[in-house]
Amino acid sequence: MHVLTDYFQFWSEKYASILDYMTEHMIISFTVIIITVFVTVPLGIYMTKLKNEKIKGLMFHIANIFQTIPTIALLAIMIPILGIGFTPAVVALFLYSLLPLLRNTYAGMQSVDPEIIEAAKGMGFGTFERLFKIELPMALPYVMSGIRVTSVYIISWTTLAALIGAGGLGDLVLAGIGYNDKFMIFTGTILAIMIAIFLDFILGKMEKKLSKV
Amino acid sequence: MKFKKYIMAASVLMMMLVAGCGGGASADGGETFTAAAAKNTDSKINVQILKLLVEDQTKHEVDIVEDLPASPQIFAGIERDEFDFASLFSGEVYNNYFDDIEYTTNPEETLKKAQSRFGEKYDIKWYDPIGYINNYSIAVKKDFAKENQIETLTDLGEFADELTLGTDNAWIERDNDGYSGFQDTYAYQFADARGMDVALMYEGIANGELDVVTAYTVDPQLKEYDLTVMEDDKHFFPPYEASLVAQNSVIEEYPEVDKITESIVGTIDTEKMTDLIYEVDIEKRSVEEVAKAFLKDEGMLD
Amino acid sequence: MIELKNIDKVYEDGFQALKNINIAFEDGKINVLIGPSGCGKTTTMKLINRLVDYTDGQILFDGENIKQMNPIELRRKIGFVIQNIGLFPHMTIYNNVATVPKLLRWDRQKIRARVKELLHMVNLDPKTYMNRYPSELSGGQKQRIGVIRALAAEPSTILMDEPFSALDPISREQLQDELIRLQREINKTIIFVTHDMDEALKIADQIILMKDGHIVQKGTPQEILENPANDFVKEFIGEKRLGRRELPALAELIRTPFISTLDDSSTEHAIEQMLKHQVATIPVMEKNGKYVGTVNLYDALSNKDKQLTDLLDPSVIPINEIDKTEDVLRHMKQGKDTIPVLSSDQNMIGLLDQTKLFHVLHEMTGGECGVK
Repeated sequence: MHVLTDYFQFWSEKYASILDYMTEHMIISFTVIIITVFVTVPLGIYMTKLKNEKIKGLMFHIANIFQTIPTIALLAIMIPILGIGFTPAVVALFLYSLLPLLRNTYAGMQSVDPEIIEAAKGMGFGTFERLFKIELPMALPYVMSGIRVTSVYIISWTTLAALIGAGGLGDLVLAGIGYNDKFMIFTGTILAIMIAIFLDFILGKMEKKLSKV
Repeated sequence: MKFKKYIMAASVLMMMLVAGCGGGASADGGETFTAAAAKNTDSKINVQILKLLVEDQTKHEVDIVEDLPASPQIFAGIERDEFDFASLFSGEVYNNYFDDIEYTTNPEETLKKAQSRFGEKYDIKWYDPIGYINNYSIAVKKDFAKENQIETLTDLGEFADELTLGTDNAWIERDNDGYSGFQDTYAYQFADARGMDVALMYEGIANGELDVVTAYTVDPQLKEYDLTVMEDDKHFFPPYEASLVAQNSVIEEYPEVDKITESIVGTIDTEKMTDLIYEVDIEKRSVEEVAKAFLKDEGMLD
Repeated sequence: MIELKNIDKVYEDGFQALKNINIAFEDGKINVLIGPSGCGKTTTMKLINRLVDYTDGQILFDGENIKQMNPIELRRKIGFVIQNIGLFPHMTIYNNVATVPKLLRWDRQKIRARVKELLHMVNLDPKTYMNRYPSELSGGQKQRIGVIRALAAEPSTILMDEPFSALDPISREQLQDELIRLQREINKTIIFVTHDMDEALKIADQIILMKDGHIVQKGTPQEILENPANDFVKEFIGEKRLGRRELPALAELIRTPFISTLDDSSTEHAIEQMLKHQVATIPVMEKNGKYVGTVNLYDALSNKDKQLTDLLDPSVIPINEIDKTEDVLRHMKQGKDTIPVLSSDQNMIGLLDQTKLFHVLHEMTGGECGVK
């Protein structure tokens, strides 16, 4: 009980700054998710239409390389170009999220049975009709699960934004680690988890709705 | 970059579990002790020196666990008897461990508090300082300081509302010796204050993204990036004097190790430590190599 | 009418997939393209809706060169049923069947009516099935949907690429029967690809047999069975099926032993024999085995007092053991249950086994038993 009252007191003292951290966290991660989805999904679709295997391989390679650059190094490279704060954090997170979503979208499109595509073609679907009425709806479960997984990644990775002065819940966690304050660590972690669960729930609902169309 | 991601915390916890506690037998019949250091280079050098001396003068061995995120993780390891030795700072005594601590920036009193309070709480011996001071401080670019003839933190106040501060993530949240306490003491705040990774903080000021940073007084980057430390004219920052600590139970059983640890007291002053860190961080030499060279120079090792 | 004229197809790597293909697919007929895998049958079919392009030649669709037609519009005019059904798994049965009418932007009411009509056509209750998804249907049901989906926009031509190959034998037979029945109603030009000769023989009006990218033989099933162009065709059709076309030698159709009576027996005795063995006629022989004639029960009963040799039935004509089975069939017209078989010296050998003969004939005409 002692811990609970202490924790309650912690919130009543800090709620303003905790909400700030949380708002920052959500703004950063949602921005990254939106940019990632709008860039990566079309890119993944485009890549399935690409005949040139070399270019395809190269694109996956580049996306893969971003994943392997250590966070601090990537952020350090960005400081001269993008400064510190929101922008480099968003760009870095976008580069990290590129591969998982790209891979899922690509796999989703590849998973569509070529015979189904041929059937659609043979029945007289135009390229875009086929894409929107057949291929995308069939790839949707993959694409959506890619978006969901990537979104959860992004929310967790957004704690890295604290490394480059963009704030977010990572700030709270890191401050807690440095300042010997378990409440801060706990709160930062639990709020990030809650945002992730909440978003996954929303995306799950969206997926259900979309797949019924 | 030797500043690892904070996510390392998880793997460090794993390491602590695996490392186990002292008492394991060494290869030639002695004990194997575990010494802990956080991710700052000076602490790593301290435990490395301890390791070199113990292994040189006794049959015992020392395992080093380093890159722990901060002091709370070290104390946690001590409490579970996983660490026998560690490198810590006196100023940590104000870091949210004791609710009833009286805050002072006097070095002797701070050291006494750390020795008695931590000694009691964790049943450890807090040795006298190694000799150097690694205070929090506030630094700006040398050019900027010269141009505007700024020497003290009070002087800096005049320009504060145009300056962006970069600091580690914890400083903003600290009570006594953090940003809020700073504002109480000096009665000004910066236009913007951003918490970030220490390595990136230096990148930031080097690239002109930041104007002011919180630095540790032994950071070689001060030299590297041409920064000037502002004089703490109102004695706001608590003294951070580095000491080695040891579990009482261990040094009672092995007094020879206690003697060795005592011998390290007062051997490295601030200037010397800055040089040693420079060797490691900037010249990219290994901690072991640098520590060995230092001990040979001092005649403490053949 | 679809005509393929001098079609060649050469891939970029130089592989010649099709060589000088000339086929006319007549309106309202089921045309079956058949051959071993890799023979170019599917490629040939896909030329028609331009899923595959050709290198040389000309394809005329009702007299119009298909290269001058918009491929998408062309495809909407041609029904298409693919091998593994190819229903869109994310669409209901209704939407699957309505696919092409929707692409053609038919009126909603019209589409609805059409889908219902088609479901009725294959005996699937629209109420039950319209809102189901393909995964909720059996294999046979799915392929029925696949077929009616191709019919939805009332195309004059339907391409079917091994549509029944993935089904179990029973469903396959059923769907083949249904296709034949349906074709009588809808009367489309069907181009059907298969590798199953039984299927081809069963459903085809015209069979086009292909090998290594060229046509080996084309014609009605009858023509191909009767005059296989070469050994490849014979082999592909299978000796068994060819063998069945030639009736068994007469010797195989003779039934012995048989009931008979001697010419010096009494009529009473002959009647007794017939009643005992439950036959309506009995051959009469001399002691040395020579055939005398046949007496029927009716004549015998009404003329008990007469000699057997006076009661011989002139309508029973014996056949000779050296006759061909085909000729024997003519005798069947008599409708007699006893047809004696004689040797060249008029000795009685046995009776024609009519049951066996009917059985053989049944098999030959596509009966279900044994043609495997």
